[in-house]
Amino acid sequence: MSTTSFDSDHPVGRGPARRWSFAHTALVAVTLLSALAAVLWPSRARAQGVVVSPPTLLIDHRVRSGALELFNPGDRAIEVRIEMLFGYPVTDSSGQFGLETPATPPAGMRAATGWVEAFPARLTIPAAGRQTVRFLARPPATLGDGEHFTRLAITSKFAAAAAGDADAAAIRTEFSVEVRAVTTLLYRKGTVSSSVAVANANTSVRNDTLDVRVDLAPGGNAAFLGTVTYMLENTAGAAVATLDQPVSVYVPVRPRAKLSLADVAPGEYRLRIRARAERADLPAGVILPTPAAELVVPVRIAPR
Amino acid sequence: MLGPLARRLLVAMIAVVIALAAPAAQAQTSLRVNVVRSLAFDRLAPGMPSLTKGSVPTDTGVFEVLGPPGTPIELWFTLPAAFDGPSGATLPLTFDPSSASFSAAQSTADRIPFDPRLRQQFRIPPSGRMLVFLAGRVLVGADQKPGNYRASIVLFANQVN
Repeated sequence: MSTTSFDSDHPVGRGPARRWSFAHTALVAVTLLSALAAVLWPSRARAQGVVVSPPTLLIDHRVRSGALELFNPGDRAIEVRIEMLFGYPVTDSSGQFGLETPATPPAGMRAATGWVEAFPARLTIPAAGRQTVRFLARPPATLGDGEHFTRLAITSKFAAAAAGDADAAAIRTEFSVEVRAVTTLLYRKGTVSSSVAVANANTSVRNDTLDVRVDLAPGGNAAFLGTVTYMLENTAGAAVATLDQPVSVYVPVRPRAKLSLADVAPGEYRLRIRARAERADLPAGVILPTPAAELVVPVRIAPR
Repeated sequence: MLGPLARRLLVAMIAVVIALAAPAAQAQTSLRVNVVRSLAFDRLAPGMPSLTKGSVPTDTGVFEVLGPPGTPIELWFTLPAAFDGPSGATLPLTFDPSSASFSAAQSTADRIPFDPRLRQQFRIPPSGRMLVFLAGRVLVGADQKPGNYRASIVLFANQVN
C-alpha cells in the first residue's frame, strides 16, 4: 500500500476520512487563494507606480549616505527620475495641509536640498524588477547640529498608451503619463531634539460636526512628526468622539479637524487635544522621542 | 486531522500568500499611484466634430492612489493644450474645472469633481485607496492630418508630511 496519505490518523482506503481530508484541504486552499486575490487585486492595475521603501529615508551625519529600494510591481518597464525638491507642510487659511515648495529655502530653514545627490538619478526598472538608489550627502563644513531635510520627487514615466485606428489614413493618439510622487529625506547631525506646543484652540459646532482649529508650533532643531488626537470627553471623562490626525510640524501651523457629533447629545464637554510623537506610517527611528503636549478646552454642544 | 502531505501543502500555500501579500501590504506604507486606465480615444477621423457637436470626449482615465490611511496628500495635473502630430499639426485638447473627480469609496457612483489643474488636498481614506478620474475633449478639424499624435500628462502627488 502506498504511504501517501492526506490524514495519517486514517489509513488510505478509509474512504470517508480521506474524502473529508481532501474536502478540508480544498476548502482551505480556496480560502487562502481568495484571500490572496483580495490582497493583490487592488494593485493589479494596468500600469503600476513604483514602490518606494522606506517611505521616509533617514541619513545619519556619521554615515552621510543612505539608500532607497525602488520596486516595479508592474509587467512593463518604468523610467524613473529622482530630483531633490525643497518643501515643507503648511496650513492654509482653511486649515488644510499643503506642501510649500519655494524655489529658494527661506533663511533659517534646515534645507538639505543643495547637498544631497541620488545615484543613479535616472534609471529604468524592468518589469517586476528592483533597483537600489543611493544617496550621498556632501554637507557644508559649517553645518550645525539638527535635522536637515529635503523632499525626493520620484517621477515614474509610463509607456504611451496608443489608441486609434491602424489605418494609415486614421488619426492615432497616444498619451504618455508621468506620475511624480514626493517623499522625504531627513539628515540628522549631532544632538537632535524635537518638541511641539499646542495652543489657541477654537471650536465651533456646525450641524453634526465639531470644527476645531489649533496652533501647533515646533521646537528644538528637528521637525515634530507625530499624531494629534482630538478627544471629546463628557463630564465623567469618557470619550464620546475621537479623531487622530497625523501631522508633520516644520513651521507653525494651524490645522483644522472635524469631529462627528452624530451620536453626541447636547451638553457640556471638554475637548482634549494631545500631540504625541507616534506615527503608524513612518518607520521606527524616524520618530524622535518627544514629550507629548496637551491642551484641554471646554465645549458646549447646544441642542440641534 | 490533516496528514503530513496536506499539512505541507497548507504550509506552502500560507507561505505563498504571505510572501505575495507582503509587497502589497508594504505598498500601503508609501504613497503610490497606479494608472488603472489611461485617457484614450476609441477612434478619431477628420470631420468628427460635425458628428459629435463640436468635440470628442476621451475615455476617462482612472488613477489609483494608495497610501497610509489618514495621510494628507495633494494632487494635481499638468495637462497638455494639444496633441503634437505630423508636420507640426496639432490636435487641440480641452479640460475644464470639472474634468477631474475623485472617489474615496472606490466607485464611479460617488465622484466628487475638482479642477485638475489646481492643487487639491485630500486625506487617504481608511481603505488606503482612492480613485481619481480624468477626462477631456479633443477638437478634430475637418481637414485634420492623419497620423500619430502624442501628448503627455503629469500627475503630481505630494505626501504632505
